[in-house]
Amino acid sequence: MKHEHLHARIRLTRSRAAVLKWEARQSTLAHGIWYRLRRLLTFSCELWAVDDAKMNELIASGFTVAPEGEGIEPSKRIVLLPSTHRERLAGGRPLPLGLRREVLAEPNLVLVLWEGNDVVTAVHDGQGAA
Amino acid sequence: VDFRTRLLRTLHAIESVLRTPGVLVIGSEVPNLLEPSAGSTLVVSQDVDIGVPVSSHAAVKAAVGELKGLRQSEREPSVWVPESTDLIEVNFIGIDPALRETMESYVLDDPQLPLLVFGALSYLEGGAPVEVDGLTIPVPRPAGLILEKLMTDRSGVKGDRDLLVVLALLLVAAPADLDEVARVFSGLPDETQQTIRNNLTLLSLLEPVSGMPDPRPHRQKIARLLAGLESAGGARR
Repeated sequence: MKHEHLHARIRLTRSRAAVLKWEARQSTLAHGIWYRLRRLLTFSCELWAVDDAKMNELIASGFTVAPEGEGIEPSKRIVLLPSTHRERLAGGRPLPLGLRREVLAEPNLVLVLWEGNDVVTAVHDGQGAA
Repeated sequence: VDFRTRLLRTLHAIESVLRTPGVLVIGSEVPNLLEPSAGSTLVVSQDVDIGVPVSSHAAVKAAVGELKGLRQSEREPSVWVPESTDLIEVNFIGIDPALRETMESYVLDDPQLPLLVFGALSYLEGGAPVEVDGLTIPVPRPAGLILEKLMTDRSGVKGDRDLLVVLALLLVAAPADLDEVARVFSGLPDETQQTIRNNLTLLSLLEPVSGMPDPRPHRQKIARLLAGLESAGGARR
C-alpha cells in the first residue's frame, strides 16, 4: 500500500472518532455525568459552597435542585440560583468554577446562573433529560 | 524575522496554490490572519494548513511542483518544509464535500501529493478573503471553521489551544456567523452535536494559556452559544 504511514494516521483518526462517538452516546447515561456537570458550570457565573441549613432554606424557597448532584458518588445537593437572588448566599464560600477536588468534596453547591432568558431556559429545559 | 513576517512570506511563496479555485487557508492560522492587518499574535504551531478540495487536486499538484523555497517532506509527503528560517511548514489537507459523515476520513493516494481527507472539513465554505501585504488569502467563513474545530477530538495541550482558537474565532464572529453556526449545527448527526456541546463546556472552563485569548471574560458568550445550540438541536441534551 502506498504511503502506509498516512493510512496508519487515518486508522488512528478513525479509532479516535469511534471513541468520540462512544463518549457522545453516554451523555445521558452514568458516564456522561461529567459532561452534564460541566454543562451546568458553563451556564453559571459563580459557584458557592453553603452549609446544610442554608441549603435547606434555599430548597424550601423553591429554587431548582439539579438532578446532576445525584449522579456522582458520594452524591451532593446542587441548587440553581438566578443571579437576581445572589444575596441569598450570604455566609457561603465562593469556589473556583470547575470540577476540582475542593469543589467535588463539598456536599452543598449553589450555581449562580448567568443572566439572560436564553441561558436560564436552556438550563431548566435540560433538567428533564439529565 | 517575526512570526507574522514568516507566515506572510510563506503565503507569498505558495501564492500560485492560493489562486487555485476552492483552496482555503484553514486551521489555527486563520484567526491570526483575521486580526487587524493579519497581526498574528496568537501562539500556535509554526505551520499553515492549506485545505485542498479533491476536485482541485490536479491543479494544486501542478502548482506545488513550481514552489520555490519549500520542498516536500520525505517523511510526510503531504507537508512542504521550508528551506530557510524565513518560511514555515505548509500542510496540505484534503476536503471532500461528498464526505458528509463528519468523523469519516480517507487517504487520497497520489505519488506526488497524497492527502489526508477529513469529513469535518466538508463543512468549510469560502468566506471573504483576507487582503494583506499584496496578497489575497482565501479563508473559510467563520461558522464552518468554528464547527470543524469543535466537532473533533480536543484533548491534551494541543486540544486546549485548539479550543482557544475557537474562542478567538468567536470573538471576531458577527451575529450572522453565530446564526450560521446554529443552522449548520441543527443538521449534524446527534453524536457530532454532542461532541460540539462537550467541547464548548471544556472551553468554558479552561484556564488562561499564554499567548491565547483568556476565556474567563467571555464565559457568558460561550454559555449563550451553548444555549443557542441546544435550542437549535432540539430537545436532546
